[in-house]
Amino acid sequence: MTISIIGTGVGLPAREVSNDELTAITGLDTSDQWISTMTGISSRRICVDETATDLATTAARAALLDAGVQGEDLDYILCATIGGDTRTPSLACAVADQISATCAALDVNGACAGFVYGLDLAASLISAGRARTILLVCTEKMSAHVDWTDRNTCVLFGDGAAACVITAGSMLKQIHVGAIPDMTAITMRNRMSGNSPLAPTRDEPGYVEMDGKRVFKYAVSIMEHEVQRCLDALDLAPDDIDHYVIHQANKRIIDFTISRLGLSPDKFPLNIDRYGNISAVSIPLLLHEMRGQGKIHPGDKLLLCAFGAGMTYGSCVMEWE
Amino acid sequence: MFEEIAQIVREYKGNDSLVIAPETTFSSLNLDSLETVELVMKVEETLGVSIDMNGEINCVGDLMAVLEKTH
Ligand SMILES: CC(C)(COP(=O)(O)OP(=O)(O)OC[C@H]1O[C@@H](n2cnc3c(N)ncnc32)[C@H](O)[C@@H]1OP(=O)(O)O)[C@@H](O)C(=O)NCCC(=O)NCCS
Repeated sequence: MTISIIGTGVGLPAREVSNDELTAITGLDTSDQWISTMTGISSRRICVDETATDLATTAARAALLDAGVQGEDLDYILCATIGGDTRTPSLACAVADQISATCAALDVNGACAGFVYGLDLAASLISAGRARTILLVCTEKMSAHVDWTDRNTCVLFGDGAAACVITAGSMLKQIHVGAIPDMTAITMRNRMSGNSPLAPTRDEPGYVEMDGKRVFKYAVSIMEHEVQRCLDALDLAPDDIDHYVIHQANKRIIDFTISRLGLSPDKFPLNIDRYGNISAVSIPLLLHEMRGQGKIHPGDKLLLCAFGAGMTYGSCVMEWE
Repeated sequence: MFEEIAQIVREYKGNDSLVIAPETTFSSLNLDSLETVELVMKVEETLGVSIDMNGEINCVGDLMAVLEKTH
């Protein structure tokens, strides 16, 4: 007995911004041609006046409704995020407040691997008998964290939330999370670290900074390694997996991984074209969309794999029920 | 080492008769910046080395220079 996902939901900003619009809004020297060729992104959702709490709450309510579970039935709310609207209380507490839950509420920062980290924690809490029903809400308002004058990074990201309700079950067959510590490949400095009255200098606000090529190399090798690890752990052949649900950071990372592993692109669902990289949200958002489109059937095997700042990574295999 | 790298480039481009010189730039081979990273990864695996991408790697000679410096 491990865990199962019994409901999913999403919360997205209303405003969709195409590459051409983004170019016009930011005034950056970029283009639809560059962004779509180098990343596979055509548009992304960006918050106008929605807060991270709004997105998270919408996703949470939809997932609870889908699962037929009430806020008061929850034992734990886990939010996978690099930061909600307030540093404290946590985003998980903000969601608890909105859905009338009084259970434990905690944020988890696994960056873009946050969903798999959240699943691992949920599986641990449930198998230890500490929780029966867990709400995992992945939420990222990347528009608050990127430097809109930096064309190397701001074109890549989007905003959104995706949630799932987790109970004891047998969907999760295998899970592994880890990190290859690298503090500079992708980083966002803490805005408060130079605030001490004794500090010699004040810190400037930090935004997402990235060494794109180094991250690209990490991403490809992590995905290749983790896919193989999952297959070996369960003694599966690549074809036994029905859907490779991979973090949507850059379509070029996915394409290159597919060609290195010699796999069929048909098994790799994509949504990066419409959302860009929404960090921890990308995989649960894909799962929700695939369910809605009737693409996941009972018995289907899914291999999930993500990597993010840290460099964190995580992968797992699920058999849908 | 040059001939080994040249052969990896030919394989990556799927063209056995491609003429490669140290001055051959990756852009002249119609490789964009991410395809160049893919090529570098193939060189790393084939030669069992690790290549730091921090400096400018624009041509085959640049790649050899980085390799000679670190290995
Ligand atoms: C971001 C990424 C697409 C950039 O590709 P790259 O090969 O590293 O590109 P470079 O930064 O070397 O830029 C190549 C050229 O495009 C230019 N460029 C960069 N961003 C641009 C943009 N938005 N529009 C137009 N041109 C751009 C560069 O200035 C450079 O031009 P130059 O050669 O004339 O100087 C790529 O590094 C990447 O996707 N990395 C992984 C990032 C990621 O997934 N992060 C999240 C992980 S969770």
